[in-house]
Amino acid sequence: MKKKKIGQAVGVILVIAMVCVFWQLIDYLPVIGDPKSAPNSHVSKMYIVDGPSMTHSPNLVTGVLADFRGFDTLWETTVMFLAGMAVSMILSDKLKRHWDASIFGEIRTFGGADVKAMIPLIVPFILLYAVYVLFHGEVSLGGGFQAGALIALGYILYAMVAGLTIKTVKVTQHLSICLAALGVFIYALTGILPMFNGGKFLDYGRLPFGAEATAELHTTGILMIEVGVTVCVAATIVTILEAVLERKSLHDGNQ
Amino acid sequence: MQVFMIEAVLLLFLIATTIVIIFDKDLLSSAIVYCAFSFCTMLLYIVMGAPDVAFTEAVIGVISTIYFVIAIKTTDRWCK
Repeated sequence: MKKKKIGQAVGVILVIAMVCVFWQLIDYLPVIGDPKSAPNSHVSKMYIVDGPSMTHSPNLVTGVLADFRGFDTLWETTVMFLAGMAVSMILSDKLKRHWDASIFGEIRTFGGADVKAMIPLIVPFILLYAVYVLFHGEVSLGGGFQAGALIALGYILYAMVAGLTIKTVKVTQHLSICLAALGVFIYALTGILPMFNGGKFLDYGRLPFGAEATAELHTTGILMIEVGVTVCVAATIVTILEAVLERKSLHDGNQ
Repeated sequence: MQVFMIEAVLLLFLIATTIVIIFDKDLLSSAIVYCAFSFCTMLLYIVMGAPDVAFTEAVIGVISTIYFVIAIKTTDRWCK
């Protein structure tokens, strides 16, 4: 009991010290939108002025994300995949081999009759919007991550409300982990393909597709990596869901 | 000045929702208030001029709320 009190006191003191430190340091941060601050004077200028001509990308954000930081995005996707795999490994050490419909009884379904009637109507529009976000990723906001999250959202909503008794939609934990790995593979393959054509890693202008226009090849390459990110993100989110649900079913079986 | 006022209101709302999330004994209402927190963060990103991040935040906020609801459904709703 006494140790707990001391720990709480130390925690409160640490929090107050952190607040004081932040309070002092916040003056050193540049004001948002200040044209004279360090990030706005060198790097941003280069991105904004030279970015479109260097990357042949219709959108500046896409150019930075997929071209200047393409390698960074590749490992972000890998981190997503590894996170999903880690959750899967921690939550279900005795993984069920096969998907079992009986573990989701009627009790596990969510919502009343109205929700169950509405969600199947909404889900196709969510998926359509996901495809729109994916294919307009270069010219508007959005892209692979958001599209993957929307696809996973549609799957989760449908699966939770329809009670997972549907025989047509069955994504096991194994399958979704393999899909996530496939997404990372698509991304890495897009990076490696230009190397057979005399280019560098993720050099979209050298993709061996026979097209002459560099801008077209850039669009194709960015679309390919975004498809990879989409597959990886959607499969990872579904993996976490399946891990949670199968763990609960395992717990029930032990009782 | 108007942007500053909007940001101030949104930040105050963030603090209020965080306090509700922490001290609510009903975990389901806590999860729903977390959704409001996420929505508020999204508005803040839009005010700061980052619609890309705001879009991600909107989608991920909904998905994490669904995860919380699933977790509450499979365990216990009330905090002891």
